[in-house]
Amino acid sequence: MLNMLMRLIGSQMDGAVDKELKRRLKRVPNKLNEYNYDAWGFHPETAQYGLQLCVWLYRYYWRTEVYGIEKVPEGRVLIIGNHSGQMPMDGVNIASAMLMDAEPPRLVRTMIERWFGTMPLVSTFAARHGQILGDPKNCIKLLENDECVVVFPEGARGSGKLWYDRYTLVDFGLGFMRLALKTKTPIVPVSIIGGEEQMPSFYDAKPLAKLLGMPYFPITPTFPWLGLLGFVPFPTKYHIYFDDPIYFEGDGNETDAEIQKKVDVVKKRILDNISFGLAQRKNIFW
Amino acid sequence: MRRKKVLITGISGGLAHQVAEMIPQNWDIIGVGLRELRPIKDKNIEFHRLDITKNKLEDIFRRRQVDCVIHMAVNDNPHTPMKHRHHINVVGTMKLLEDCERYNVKKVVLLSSANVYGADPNNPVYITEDYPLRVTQTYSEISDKVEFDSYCRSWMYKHPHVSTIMLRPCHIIGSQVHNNLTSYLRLKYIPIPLGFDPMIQVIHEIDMARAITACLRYNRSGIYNIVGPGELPITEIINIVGGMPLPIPHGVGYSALRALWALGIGPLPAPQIEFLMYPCIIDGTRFQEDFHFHPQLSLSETLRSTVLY
Repeated sequence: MLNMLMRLIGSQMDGAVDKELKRRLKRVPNKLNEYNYDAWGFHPETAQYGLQLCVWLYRYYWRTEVYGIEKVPEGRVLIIGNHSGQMPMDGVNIASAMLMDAEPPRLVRTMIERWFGTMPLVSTFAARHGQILGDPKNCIKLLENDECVVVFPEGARGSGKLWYDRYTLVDFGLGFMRLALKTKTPIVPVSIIGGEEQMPSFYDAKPLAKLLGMPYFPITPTFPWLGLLGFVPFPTKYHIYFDDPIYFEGDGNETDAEIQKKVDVVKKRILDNISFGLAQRKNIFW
Repeated sequence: MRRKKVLITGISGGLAHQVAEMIPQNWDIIGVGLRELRPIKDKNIEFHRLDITKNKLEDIFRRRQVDCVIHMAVNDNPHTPMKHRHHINVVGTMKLLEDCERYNVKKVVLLSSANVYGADPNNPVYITEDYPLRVTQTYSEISDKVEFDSYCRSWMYKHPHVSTIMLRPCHIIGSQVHNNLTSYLRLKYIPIPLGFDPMIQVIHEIDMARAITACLRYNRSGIYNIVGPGELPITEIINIVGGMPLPIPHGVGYSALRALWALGIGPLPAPQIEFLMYPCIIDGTRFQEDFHFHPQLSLSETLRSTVLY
């Protein structure tokens, strides 16, 4: 269905997808079957329109500056970043950076919330763009296939953090470290500057969130006052700092305390780069 | 040297017929089925027209020294009343396996289905054989299939000296097989749940028959998922076979199917819709490694041969 819709739109706006994106999408080292699908449902011909929008936002709306992307190694890799900004635009920007500015271009896989899978259109849309249901088995399989997976270990608690807590990190989950150890995957810490100001939240209306089945209900300068328009994030300038890959030793069966030590190494690198990035930044918007 | 004998139950079915065709020449084939057997080229089959739930089946074991049983007398038709289906699929299988034990059969091949895992939004991609069977959480109409699977599994562990191989294939399609998916794909206008487009795995009947005959070559026991050449979204499959997708909001489709089913005129039980909404993607690598099996037909060959009117 979505394919037909996308194809219909696509036939009208084939020119909208620029040649560079198409060329790069062809070079993405993903294993696809004879009809260009992978087992999770990624399909470059359907995804190119959505990705084009992401790339456009990345270049012209957030004017993202990327530092050190060449440090991301080839083959399997876990990118671990700080989560912020109420909406997952940090994921969109990392995905665009890895597609347009990494060599070779990589398709970023993010692990999405479970309830996305139950929603019509959204589930199909996510699958066609290569986004995967957040299940450890999926993640292991992707890493074994030498894919590039992005995880925000803070989860929804991270993206929903309030203005007063900006650029601090809440507790990291430990799951990503065990997966990395089990699959012998290098970890690239990445620090994202700019996300915290795109939708500053002053209060989380928890009862409303619970009522609507949302992870949090932010009260921002524009939301919910302007209705749907309040969802439009501010055009802050994004800076993304990639750090050197870390190769941890272990088999993933260590105690929580041992895993926590390794996680803290990653966390510290992210925090260090955040303070560096904040010191470098002259202005939120340019 | 005594020639080895294989007993194929349900041999009149489309898939079993192809299995019989592929059994190597050094085996003697004994067939049991409810319908008359179409002749098979170059094969001399000792055919018995009987119901496997009847005691007459045991007489075959008494008279012939059966080395291997390929059990394919399974009723998948959702329109058969549950009582009857349970009698064939569970009671029939229990009796057959008792005979296998009593008459020292060395190998038993059983045909379950990947449907027993159920389609669920939380399914990971690549369900392995140790995954829970949770189809009955929402789809009680095929509980006999799960009971069949569980019974065979416990029988396998109780009889370690018998090479028991239970197969859980993905959707089998082709011109000879008649199941829910093939009759669905042969429709002209094909209703699909609006906004859902899960990946579906298919295997061609010829590849499946090859997988079943491969079981004769190796002396192993176990439960194995079987996959074909790959997975595709259901709408892409419909496009390839030349149908016309008809998106319907799934709530509407579900209620309509449930009402029709209750009236006895429904094409399928309503929970079957879940297989068109959520993934049930299985991992077939264990079988491919243990039995050196690889599907020979590509996705397009598999799909194009299905819809032959």
